[in-house]
Amino acid sequence: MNLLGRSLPVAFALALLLPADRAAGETAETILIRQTLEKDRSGRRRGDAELVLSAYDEDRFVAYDAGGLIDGRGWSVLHGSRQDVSRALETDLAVRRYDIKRAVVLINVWKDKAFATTVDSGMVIDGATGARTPFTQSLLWTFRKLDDEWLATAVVVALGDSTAGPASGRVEADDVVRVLQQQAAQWNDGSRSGITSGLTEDAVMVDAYFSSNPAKWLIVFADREEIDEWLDDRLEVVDYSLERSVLHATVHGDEAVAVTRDRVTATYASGDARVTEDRFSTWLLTRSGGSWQVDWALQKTKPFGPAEGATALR
Amino acid sequence: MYPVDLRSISRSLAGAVSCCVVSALAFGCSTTEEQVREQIEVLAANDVGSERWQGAVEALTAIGRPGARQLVALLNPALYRGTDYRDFRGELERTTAGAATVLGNIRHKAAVASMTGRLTIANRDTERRAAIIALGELGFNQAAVKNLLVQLKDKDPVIRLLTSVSLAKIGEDAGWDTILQAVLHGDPEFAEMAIGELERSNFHGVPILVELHGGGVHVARLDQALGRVRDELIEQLTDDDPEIRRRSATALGAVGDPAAVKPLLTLLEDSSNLVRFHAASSLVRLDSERGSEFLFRSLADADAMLRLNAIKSLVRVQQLSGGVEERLIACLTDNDSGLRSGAAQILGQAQVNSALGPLLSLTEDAEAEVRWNTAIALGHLGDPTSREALQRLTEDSTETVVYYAQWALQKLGAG
Repeated sequence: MNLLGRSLPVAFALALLLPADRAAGETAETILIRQTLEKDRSGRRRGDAELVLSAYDEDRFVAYDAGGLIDGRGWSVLHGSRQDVSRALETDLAVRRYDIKRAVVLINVWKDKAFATTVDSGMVIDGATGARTPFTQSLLWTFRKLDDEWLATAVVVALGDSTAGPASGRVEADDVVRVLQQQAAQWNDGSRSGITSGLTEDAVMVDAYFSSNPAKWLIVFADREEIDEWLDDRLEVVDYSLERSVLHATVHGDEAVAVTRDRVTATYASGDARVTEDRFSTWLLTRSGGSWQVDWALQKTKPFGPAEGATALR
Repeated sequence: MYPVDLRSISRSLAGAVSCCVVSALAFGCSTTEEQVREQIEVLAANDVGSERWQGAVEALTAIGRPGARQLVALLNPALYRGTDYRDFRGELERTTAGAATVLGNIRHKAAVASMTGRLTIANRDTERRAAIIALGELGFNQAAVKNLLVQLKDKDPVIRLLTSVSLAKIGEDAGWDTILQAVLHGDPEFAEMAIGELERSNFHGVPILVELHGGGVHVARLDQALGRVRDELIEQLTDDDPEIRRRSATALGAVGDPAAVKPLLTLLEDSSNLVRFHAASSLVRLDSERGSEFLFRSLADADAMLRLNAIKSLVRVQQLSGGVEERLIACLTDNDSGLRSGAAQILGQAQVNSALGPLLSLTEDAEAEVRWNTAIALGHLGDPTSREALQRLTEDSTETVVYYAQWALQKLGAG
């Protein structure tokens, strides 16, 4: 049989596997990420914790609670490890069943990292009474690609939308504050190695472009090496000055969430422009070898005002 | 607030910058890619329109197409990631506006798709304006026209004006009225901006400037603008590109300044046929006898191609200025049948009604070609008094004459 003859049936079979409602702009990577998300949904629906967990990274998986907010000052660590998640999941699935549909709102991929937002909707069914409770929840997922498989590394549950107002931050972890302040000092010193020493190898940076709409966010760096490379050139041409305040820092086990407000001033080696910008950033940190390191950072998030009059949607 | 003049890049710097670039290349100081990267950093670090920003635009323009790939990438916000990441929106604005300006200057047509993406209101005004201006430089493209037409509905009058000028540059007159209104009824600052845009639009802006000049407002400023354009056009008469020479020569006829006669005369010896004929047409419009001589001599030439060009040129001249009417009518009684035939064609196509009587006489010409061209001319004029003569021609011994006489009668309609 010639090559065409052998290839056609395979191509036909692959075409059948593609979802009928494949969205415009879909790529091989986004299809694989959808499959991972579907494992999670399907596992919850069937009460199969093992299937759910197969979608999660074995090395590291963290669940955060956004508390119905998009403002990171309202976020906290819900389950600090995959083991915690597993325990909570098994307990939950033993007493409830999730009859849910999942809409994938967006997927943003850069190299071997990605994030996605989903909206789950349907019913939660109480195992004992059979009582059905309507259920809707927005989630933010982070992923990394490992051996051609996309695995979820974190989920932020109860994510708010742009209508959810500001939250009051809680500064509860001095060691996290110290690390973030040290990092700011490294920017002021123009020390590339100093800046990146506080990052995990897989650290991801997202530019949120001052928006609370994740559809406008973009992963700009997929790992520490990429940030290093960028800083090598960047610090040659731009001089940064940072004044940082830590507005929120909360820890659960070896995981932490923090929010900073930076006043950044930049001057250029090649010109006269001078930029001053106020930035809010949400940091997801992990403790490794006793020291805190940034694993994901949402830079330039929406600059919410003071928390008075906040309307957190729960 | 009106935009920074993105195109006021001093031409005088071009030579110096080109030399620097060439020297750098010759001495192997850095690769072109590195030079482009360095200049992009200068764009990023300086306000749009500042001297250093303009210097970078000039340098990148001098580098030209080898830098185009890096510049096109600057038009796509999704590509500002990894080592190309820029964390300040202002930087993106400065690099995007710079890239659009350079790509317009070097007429990099492949940038149209990326450029149209910068037109939407999601972009900053500086970026939109640079992209609109650049699209005008890139020439006709269906997608560009479609996207520019949308901008004509923008609520920002500056965007509408720049779009109108760009459309005019690519041969679309959809925004012509917007420009006229800006000059005739806009506040002084806005009118000045519109005139300035036209002044910088080379030959594209000439027809509108000329029309405005007849409007009786801002006369001194329009005189100045036309003077500047005239000087630029005269300079372009020696351009290497025959299309630039042709269009410059044509525009000089419209400007109507006698100072252009002498430089236009040199083009009567140009290597390009088209350039010669357009220069001659403009000379006629400027009342130069040498232009008329050239065209009428060509009309009588044995070379059919020269005759054809002469006919086209004389039709154009007659339609635009009416300056050759008497001489054409006189040609109808010339001994040379080629001249009689050509003059009949021109008078018909230019619809010179005063030629009706002499044309009717020509229906009895001894030469069949003259008779059929006369029939066609009478058809174009459409005067009912020519019906009888045309009826007679339907009995002509030459089939072609009969055919065109019937065609002309059809044009006259029933009656």
